[in-house]
Amino acid sequence: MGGPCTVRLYAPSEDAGQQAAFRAEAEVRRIEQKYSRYRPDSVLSVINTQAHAGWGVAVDDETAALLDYAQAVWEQSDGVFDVTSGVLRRAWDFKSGHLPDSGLLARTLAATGWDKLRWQRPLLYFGLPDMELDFGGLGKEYAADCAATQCRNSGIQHGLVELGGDIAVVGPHPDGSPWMIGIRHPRQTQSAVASIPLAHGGIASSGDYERYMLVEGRRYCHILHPQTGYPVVSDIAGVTVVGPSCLIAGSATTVAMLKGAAAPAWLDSLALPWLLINAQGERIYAD
Amino acid sequence: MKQTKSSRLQALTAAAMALPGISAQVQADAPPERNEIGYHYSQYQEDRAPESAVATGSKSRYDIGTHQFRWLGPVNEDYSLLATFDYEGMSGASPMGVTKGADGKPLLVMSGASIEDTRMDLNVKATRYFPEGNASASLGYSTEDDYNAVNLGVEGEKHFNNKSTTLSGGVGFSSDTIEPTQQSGTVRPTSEDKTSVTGFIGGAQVINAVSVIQTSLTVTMHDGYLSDPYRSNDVRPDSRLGFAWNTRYRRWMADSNAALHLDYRLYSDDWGILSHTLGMEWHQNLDDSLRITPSLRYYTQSQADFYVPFDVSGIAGEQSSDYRLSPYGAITLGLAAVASGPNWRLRVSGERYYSDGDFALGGVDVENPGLINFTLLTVGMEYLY
Repeated sequence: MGGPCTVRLYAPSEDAGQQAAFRAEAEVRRIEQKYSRYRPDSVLSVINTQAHAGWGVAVDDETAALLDYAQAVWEQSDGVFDVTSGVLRRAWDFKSGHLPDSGLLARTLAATGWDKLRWQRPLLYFGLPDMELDFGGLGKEYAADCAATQCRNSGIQHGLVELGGDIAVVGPHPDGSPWMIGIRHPRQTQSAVASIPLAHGGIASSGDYERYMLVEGRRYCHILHPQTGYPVVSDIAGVTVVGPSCLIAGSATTVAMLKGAAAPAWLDSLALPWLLINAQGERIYAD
Repeated sequence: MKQTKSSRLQALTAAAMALPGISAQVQADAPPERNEIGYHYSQYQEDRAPESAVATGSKSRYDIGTHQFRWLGPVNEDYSLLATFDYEGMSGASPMGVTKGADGKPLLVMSGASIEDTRMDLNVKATRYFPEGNASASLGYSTEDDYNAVNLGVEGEKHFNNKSTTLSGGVGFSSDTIEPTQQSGTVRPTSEDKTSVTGFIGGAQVINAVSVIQTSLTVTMHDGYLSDPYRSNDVRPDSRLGFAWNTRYRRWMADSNAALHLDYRLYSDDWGILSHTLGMEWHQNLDDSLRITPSLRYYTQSQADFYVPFDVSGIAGEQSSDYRLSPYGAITLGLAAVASGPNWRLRVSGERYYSDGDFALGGVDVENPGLINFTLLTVGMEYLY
């Protein structure tokens, strides 16, 4: 899942704790295997292959619910959150230090856009042969929520699940006090810029520090805008959102990174607590 | 937190709540969601008795191979079922008594030929889950060539203070029948019965984010034929009342990515045996999927009131020279490795057990020559589906 995975639980017995952690881990691995774009046998790879061939693909209930969710975020973000934008990575090589070939970028951009596919539950059709789905912006956060659910279903009421920095809370400490979540500085990743109390739901962070390249002194981060094919050039170095679930918090951070200067207004319209850190290291927040 | 309702957030929340992994927000105790199937094989091997400790008979001691099959699964939203089946093959010789050698030292009188036996044991346990606890009922049957046992039990668990405190309790009943294999030249009973009743109460308390303590008290009453029919001069009381107090402490060591387990058990019964067991385990995570656990256990017990270091024939009253009733101490060294994947777990473990009169607290005058050393090797796997 890219990054450390941690489960912290208060359990009534060792067996109960181990069983819950075992189930949480199994759930994360299940989702990772199901939606990995690196595994040729993943459900996502099968969908991409079949839909690529021009056939409609009938998807299972869980995948259908994720597609419904992806559509909801696409609609609520005015199209900047797009699970079809992964194809843009064919044009971008963040290790090369070079900007993409304009012809290749134009072709991948043409194959990007939720509005270019047809989603009629349970059938999914790609409107263009080069399209593909990528749950990179959803999978990890959804897996954290599911792992927390597994813990609750195992009888655990207090704990949290952290997957690569994104957190789903199982429940607060036994005395009801919230977990204190340290937020990393986007540019000095060893130091914390804030500590956020969290008793329920989830928290997620995104930033230009995760993967980027510098070309002629300009910073290009890995979060690509589905309408331009380029990273958004903005003053935002990092964003953190607290949400009713890790999934919602995670999608909100992705949208905020893509919204650029419009991020604060969009986050305000979501009415969730958020924290932005700009390139100068200043904090802008709403709680 | 802002109090304004955001239509954007409502749209996202509605879509997120439709996701199967997020929607189930069960706070109550609940049965497992998936089936779990497991198989364990263990090989228990006692060292051969040393030449110098045996007066007559075979020097080979017990060798036991056990296959255990286990299945756990949900029945519906409120119930789960656990079934275990053990198949055990046993061979070896056993001590029939202790005699005095020419130099006055105790020597074992062993059974002549190797004994072969198989044991089959089937147990089924149904658990009902409630919002703040669970209750189980179990039924088991065990059979050997010369032994049959039926047991049943009920137990329950209740959580308090947001599950940071758990109280548990249970009772069990067992009815056993032994029909000893007869041997010409010896007088053995043909059929004897024993009943046992066990009760326990326990509590677990989460102390803080990294430590938990559990304690329990168990009372066991045996009534009936409690002697060993294969020993020459073994006459034991026809009842036994024992108490065991167990305390377990668990601490998570975040810096080492490991957990420390400390266990203590105090046992005392009206046969005069008092024992202490101290255990320590270090569960070291090496990465996400591999854990290594070294362990160390110390045991010491005093002798039963009617224990005799040498058998005396033809006297009335209770006596036994069984090494398990003698004063001794024991040290166990163990090492286990557990590897786990998305829906499986593999476990390999080894244990080496040494018992000796010198290990006992307070020392022992005449050490029983039947004290054993053994090796226990186990491989097991579990699979979730």
